[in-house]
Amino acid sequence: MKSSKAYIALLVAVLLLSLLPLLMSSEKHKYLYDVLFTLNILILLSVSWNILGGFAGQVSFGHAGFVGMGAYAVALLHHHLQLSPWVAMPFSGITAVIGAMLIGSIALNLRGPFFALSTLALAEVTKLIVEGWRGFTMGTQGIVIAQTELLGIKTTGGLYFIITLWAAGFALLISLLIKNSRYNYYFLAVGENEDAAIAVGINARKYKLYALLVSAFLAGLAGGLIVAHTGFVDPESGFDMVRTVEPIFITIVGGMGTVFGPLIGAILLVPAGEYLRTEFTKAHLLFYGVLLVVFARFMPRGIMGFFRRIGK
Amino acid sequence: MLRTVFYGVFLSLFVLIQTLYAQEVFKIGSPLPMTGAGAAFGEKFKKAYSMAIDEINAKGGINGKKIELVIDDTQAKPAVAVTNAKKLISSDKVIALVGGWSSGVALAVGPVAQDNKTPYLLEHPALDDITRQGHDYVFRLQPTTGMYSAALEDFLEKVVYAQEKRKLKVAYLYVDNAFGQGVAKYGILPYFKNKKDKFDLLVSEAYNEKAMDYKPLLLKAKNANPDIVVLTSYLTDGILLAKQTKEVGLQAKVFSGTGAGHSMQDIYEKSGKAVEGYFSSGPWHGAIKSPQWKKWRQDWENKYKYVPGEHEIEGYVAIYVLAEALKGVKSSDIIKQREELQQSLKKINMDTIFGKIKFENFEGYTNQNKAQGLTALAQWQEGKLYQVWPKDAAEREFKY
Amino acid sequence: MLISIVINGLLIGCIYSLIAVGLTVIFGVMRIINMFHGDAVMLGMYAAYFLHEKYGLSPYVATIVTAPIFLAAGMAIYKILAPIPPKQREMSSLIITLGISFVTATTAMLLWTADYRTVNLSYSQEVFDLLGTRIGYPALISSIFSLLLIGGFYLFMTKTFLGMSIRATAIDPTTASLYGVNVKITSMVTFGIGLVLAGVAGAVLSPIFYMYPFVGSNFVIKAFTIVVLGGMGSVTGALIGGLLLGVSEALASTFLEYSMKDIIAFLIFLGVLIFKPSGLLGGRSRV
Repeated sequence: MKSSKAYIALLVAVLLLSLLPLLMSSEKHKYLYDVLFTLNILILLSVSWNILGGFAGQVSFGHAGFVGMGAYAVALLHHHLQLSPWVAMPFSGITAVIGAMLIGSIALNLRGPFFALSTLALAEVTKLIVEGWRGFTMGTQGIVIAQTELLGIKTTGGLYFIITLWAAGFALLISLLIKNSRYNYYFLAVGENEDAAIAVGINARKYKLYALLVSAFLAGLAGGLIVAHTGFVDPESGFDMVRTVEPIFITIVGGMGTVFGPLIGAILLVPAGEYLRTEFTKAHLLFYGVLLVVFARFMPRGIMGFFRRIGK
Repeated sequence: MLRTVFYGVFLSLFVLIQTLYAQEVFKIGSPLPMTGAGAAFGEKFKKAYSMAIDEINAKGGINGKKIELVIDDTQAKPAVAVTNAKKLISSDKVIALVGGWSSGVALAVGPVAQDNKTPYLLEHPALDDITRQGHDYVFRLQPTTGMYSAALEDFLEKVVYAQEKRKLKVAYLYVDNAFGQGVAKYGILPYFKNKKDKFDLLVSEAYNEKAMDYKPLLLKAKNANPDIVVLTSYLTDGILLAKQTKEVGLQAKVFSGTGAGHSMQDIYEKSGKAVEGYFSSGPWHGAIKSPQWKKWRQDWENKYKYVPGEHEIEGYVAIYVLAEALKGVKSSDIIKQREELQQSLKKINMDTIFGKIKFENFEGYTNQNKAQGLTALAQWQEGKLYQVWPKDAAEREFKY
Repeated sequence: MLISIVINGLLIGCIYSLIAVGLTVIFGVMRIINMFHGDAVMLGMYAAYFLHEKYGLSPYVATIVTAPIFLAAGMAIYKILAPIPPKQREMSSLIITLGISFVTATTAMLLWTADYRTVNLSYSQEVFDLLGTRIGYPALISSIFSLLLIGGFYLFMTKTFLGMSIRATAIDPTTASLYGVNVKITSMVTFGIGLVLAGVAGAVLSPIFYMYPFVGSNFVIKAFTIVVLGGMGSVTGALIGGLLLGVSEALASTFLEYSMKDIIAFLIFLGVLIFKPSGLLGGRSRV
């Protein structure tokens, strides 16, 4: 199978890009590295969304909830126990997984648009709880996370770029592994027609839950990485709807249900968005909107789908 | 596949790398909300900065160099603002950062400025915590949230309580965000707690600024039959609260906002004059009796066709403070320039139309202007906001 | 006080319902999640504002002027969405309507600045007394107007051929076409009607709310909550969902801490989803 090629390509790409800070100083190109950080995070998030929405066919509108849980896990461990974001980082993914189990126990009973909207509602509820529980979460005032170093690694700069790069690479690896395993067929079956899948003896709920948990772990991790970098989180920014919306349109532009679709979508849209914002301080969303309309209208299967068709 | 990825990555690198060029101007960067719900405020600050910069440049600039403003859109989001700040510092090579409008943005930008040794001057984000992080590159010229209510507290005690001579019932409603929580936590709540013998705080509620209906909240306040209603609001929620207060028939001897929405001209017209008689305690609108202030206000109205308020004067003065400090910048290397500017800002001690500006370290604050006397109580009278307290800064007699 | 709170909840609930009705119709028929809906409400507000400022037209009357424009706009947007293969349409239309939303809000800001605006009517501060509850005239009129519109729309859906075609298309497009319904035109008109309702909701909101170019995002989550609560595609469901939300929010914010009000709304929402996923009045044949 040509899948081994894809693993090698992924490994080589990650390793080569890890050398980037040696070629270009992250001290001199802080902005560039910041954009690359955003790019890595959005690859991670989009891959996460794609595993649930693209592979398993369960469209989530609640990814911002998992991101927020991950972000708050790191922030609260830092705030209450003075844990370094580095030590707290694994808990971001774990917290999101626990949250996903709770959310899944409700949302996984529902299908299609009902599932999507219930994840949206549950993400909102999580946000509102964080807002309301002032004594523990500081409420809307937010939490400041001091810049900390562990083994000389700051939560900004070249080394942080490498770490987020590996996180994105890790997500792509998981995505590849799923795609090349029997899980892919179960996911496909459940996503295409749940009743038919159940009829042939597939435990649809189990596979939907697996997809949800993997997806939530990656999204929570993204939240932890974001908050350590931003150094501040409040409910509004931690649970920002943009973190749901952006991965969706990156994935759709790139190609939903494909391994590399989210990657291509992110590589295209993140720099485009950044360029438009700096070039057109006020009108950038206008151009970005046009970009979305054009892509979704003329390439409904995304770039991957488009080229696959041309290839045929 | 692989090739596509590589091309994509490197192409995006080339788009983003900007060429370096010699610093012939002083660039000042500002992360501001130019889109989204805060865009109206971003626009105010942009106007204020531009006006000051145009004036300074018309007089030949500073040390022969002109000032240039670079704005980057934050959408009022802290995470975006971090990217904005890094772009401004490392790509645009600005000598200083200014503004940000919201406290969340300032909290996120502060560490970036500190980390990159780039002075960051705040003129509006008010949450106390921002200047309590020990960042010696972060300066704030205006009062903090904890100081906003100072003039109101003084007035309530010396005038209202002195006249009524009985325990007064208070209802306090505040917007649930960093600003509202700051005013509540550092100002209003501890005050009424300390003055339990004089005031009885019966209702104290945080509300969502995007709600469409505040009537249940106002009915709750009305049920307590308060003598004093204190509100900490932005503009849109302030408008709805004022209109709906009339609707539910909530009455009190004193209605007072704490700056922000309640001190903007917009609230009067857009609430259909419902705020007539309201007080507002917050950063004052400048040394209104000085001729320089009067001239500034006239210039502003001529240029932009509306009456300026606290945002406009804060933004305008911030540029003049930076300009004064820039006089101490002699070297040509941007990193040294920033250090010189920081040193120079530390030494600032100037009188502006916003009042005295001097950055000090005290009681856990770093580089915070003590802003003594820079808060005042104003009142909406016949469509205009007049300063009424403290007495020596009063334009008009208060009505209550 | 309890009566006042319930009455206030019902009044705001009527407005919530009107915002949701347009969304539910589009969703029910085409399974399109219209992210543009909030911006259509925003445009309705601005249209009412300008017609009021320039020509002194009452916002309620202004709806007659703006309705055809919204109808045409909705049909045009449908034209963009229609050629997408059905399998991709659900997600692509989400992205396309979101893109149109960005374009609309930004254009509105460039044209009309980011300033906040309100419509103040001559009777803005007059108050009506109902069972000891003080109600401002604009709030009262807006709510009654919303209620009448929803009622009228219900009649339209149940009594007219076009309305019945829309319902038939929602239930099963293939069968509907066998009975002589032109599914394409019906879908197009449905999208148009959905936007007209959004525009009208904007006009109705203008005297009691405020507007700015990005205000639309304030309504989207609430409107979706109501749509799901009432049952996707159901007009009466949207009405009941809106009223329920309005009253429960009002009660929660009075008897609990104010910040609890939104949590209560979402908990009701989740409860309905768990016990009756198709919504209170779900099931696709209902109106």
